[in-house]
Amino acid sequence: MPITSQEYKVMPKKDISTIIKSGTARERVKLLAEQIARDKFVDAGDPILTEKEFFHLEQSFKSDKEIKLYNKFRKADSTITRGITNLDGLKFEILNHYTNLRGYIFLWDNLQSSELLVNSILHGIENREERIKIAENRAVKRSLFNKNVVDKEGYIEIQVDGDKQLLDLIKIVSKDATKSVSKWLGWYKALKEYIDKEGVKIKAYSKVLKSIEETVFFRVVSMDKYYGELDEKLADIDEVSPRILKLLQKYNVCPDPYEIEPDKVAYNWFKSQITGDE
Amino acid sequence: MEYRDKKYDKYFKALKDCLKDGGNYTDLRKLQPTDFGLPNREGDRITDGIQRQCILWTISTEYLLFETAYSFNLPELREIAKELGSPYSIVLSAYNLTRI
Repeated sequence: MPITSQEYKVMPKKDISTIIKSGTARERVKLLAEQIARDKFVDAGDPILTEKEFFHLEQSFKSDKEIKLYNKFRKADSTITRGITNLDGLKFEILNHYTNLRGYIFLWDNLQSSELLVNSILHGIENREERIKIAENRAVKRSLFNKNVVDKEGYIEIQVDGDKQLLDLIKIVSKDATKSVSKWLGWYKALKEYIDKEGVKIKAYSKVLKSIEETVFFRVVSMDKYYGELDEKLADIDEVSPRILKLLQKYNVCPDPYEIEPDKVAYNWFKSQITGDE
Repeated sequence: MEYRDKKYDKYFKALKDCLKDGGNYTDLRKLQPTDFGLPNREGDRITDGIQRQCILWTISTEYLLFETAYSFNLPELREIAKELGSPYSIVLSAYNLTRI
């Protein structure tokens, strides 16, 4: 039964001492591995061994079999560390895309609210000619990412889906984010397979991987609309019209990592260059 | 003699079914309240027109515009108007039913 990092955390010091003194080679490797992982990554947890204990443990592998086991662990540890470092680096690329996308979506959302607000006010003017006149006099024709026009009824239309306008930009950033997530998933898959194959289950590394995974899977924005879905509270309504669901597809601009396939090229590259499997 | 509420129910159902079957605003306009035993209007103002009021409520329920708390999660009114083939002002009026 493997010892978990949580157990290490609450494990009395004397139990750790017992493993150092009389634990099996596998138990000692696991304890050492846990400490090494914690040394390398901030998210992995607090140290569990003193420097002296660590040195003592490292020197405790004497027989050929024990040394072989220890060396096997060191090799795997080095590969996993390289893998995690790469995944962590790619996470920042993804975060960068998410941040850009979030900003543009908020801008888009704000433009939608502005259009509704201004038109709600214009709606109070019953005379169409007067409404057109007021709207045309007040509307700023062009902003950085959108064009504002007055429709035939005298309401303002903020257009974002023309050439090189906001929606174009959002789609480009969304595509870039999806590509990076797919690459990350390819690398992640390859690393997980390597960890399973080598049987190196170190809880501290699982914790670090989990933390990176949570960042990648974090929603770009909280509104379901930008995932092309109806708000879950609205979805409870008995009969939701398919027409509204169809309309929501226009807003489906956020990548959903659960729906993205791992990139095969990235997966193969990781296997050949990082885990050295192929 | 049929009750007045029942006539309204029938008219509403016909409007709702029309949208369900893929109908647009023009199709909704073709359904006259008089065909369901209802008068054209109740009162003197234009907005008292029964057909207009019933169509607005039908649009409001079809596109969940009555859900004031989650309106930020709904498609834009202009998109709804395009899909429905209706003037923007109609959808805006439907939106305002539960807000003014």
